[in-house]
Amino acid sequence: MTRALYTCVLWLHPPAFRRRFADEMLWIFEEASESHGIFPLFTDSFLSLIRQWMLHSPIWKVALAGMGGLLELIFASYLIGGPTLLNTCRQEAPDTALSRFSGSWTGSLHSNGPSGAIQLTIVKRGNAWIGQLQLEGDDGKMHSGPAEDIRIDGDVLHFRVKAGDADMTFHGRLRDGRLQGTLEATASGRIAASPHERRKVGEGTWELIRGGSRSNLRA
Amino acid sequence: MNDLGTFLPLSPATLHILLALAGEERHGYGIMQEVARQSEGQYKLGPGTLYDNLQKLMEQGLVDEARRSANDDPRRRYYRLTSWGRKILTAEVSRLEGVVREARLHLRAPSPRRAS
Repeated sequence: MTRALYTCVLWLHPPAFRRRFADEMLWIFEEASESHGIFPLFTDSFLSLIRQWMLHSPIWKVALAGMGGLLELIFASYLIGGPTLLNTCRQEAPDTALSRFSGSWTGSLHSNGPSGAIQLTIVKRGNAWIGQLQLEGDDGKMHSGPAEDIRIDGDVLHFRVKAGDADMTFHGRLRDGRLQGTLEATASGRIAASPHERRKVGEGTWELIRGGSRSNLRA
Repeated sequence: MNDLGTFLPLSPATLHILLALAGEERHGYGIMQEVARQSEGQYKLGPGTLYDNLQKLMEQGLVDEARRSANDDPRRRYYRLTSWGRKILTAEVSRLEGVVREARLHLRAPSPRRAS
């Protein structure tokens, strides 16, 4: 067992050293393990392993040069104001705030305009967010429209939607796992008050009923 | 390369290995045993340290591999001191003699005190 382990340590040495001395070292290990003790022989072989790679092998110099080059690259890109590798990594990392918006939300709107159940589905496909709003109009029919110009900034969600004759903007914020938001009519919609002002359609709270990207929405 | 001064002072491991080979050619395990004997068991050389140093000493031309007889275990290789290695060892011993002489001089003779 210890012999096999010692052979493994020898095998980790640089090839040139291993070819030349491994057989002799193994023979000495067999001869000296009783008089010297197993632990000192293993300690000695590990130190030899480190010395061999550090002093006699150019591989660590190549690795060190590579790391130095990478640091220079990061530093240089930071100086010229371009996207640094660190920033690139940060952009690739999942943003928990963004992922919390993904899914189907259901809730109701308290308003003097269209009222009743409103369902919002929003998912991320690639780099773009897509969404759909379904609401019950005052005619009792369900109207739906795609969410456009979706913008997410931290816990804040903003989008525009055309559902039925209404052209509205939504502005909401995540609070304690719920989405609280306000619908406002824009100037071009049927329920708009005037061309120069927005009219609050209503406000409500939405619960997430199905998270993730399980949706039939198409971009 | 052949300047003696660039080799001195020798590390303890190198000094002991060269000393072990000064009398006769030995295989690796023989060198380890001889080093332990010379130092009265105070300095035990492991095989890793031994062959690290032997590799360096052979590259520097201080130690050479000796011919072995056909009856020997093929895993045993014998090493011997080259004439260049002997010169280096002699120079190191002279240096150490000087160090010991100076040490004795300073340790035995107390410095004279000035009369107040």
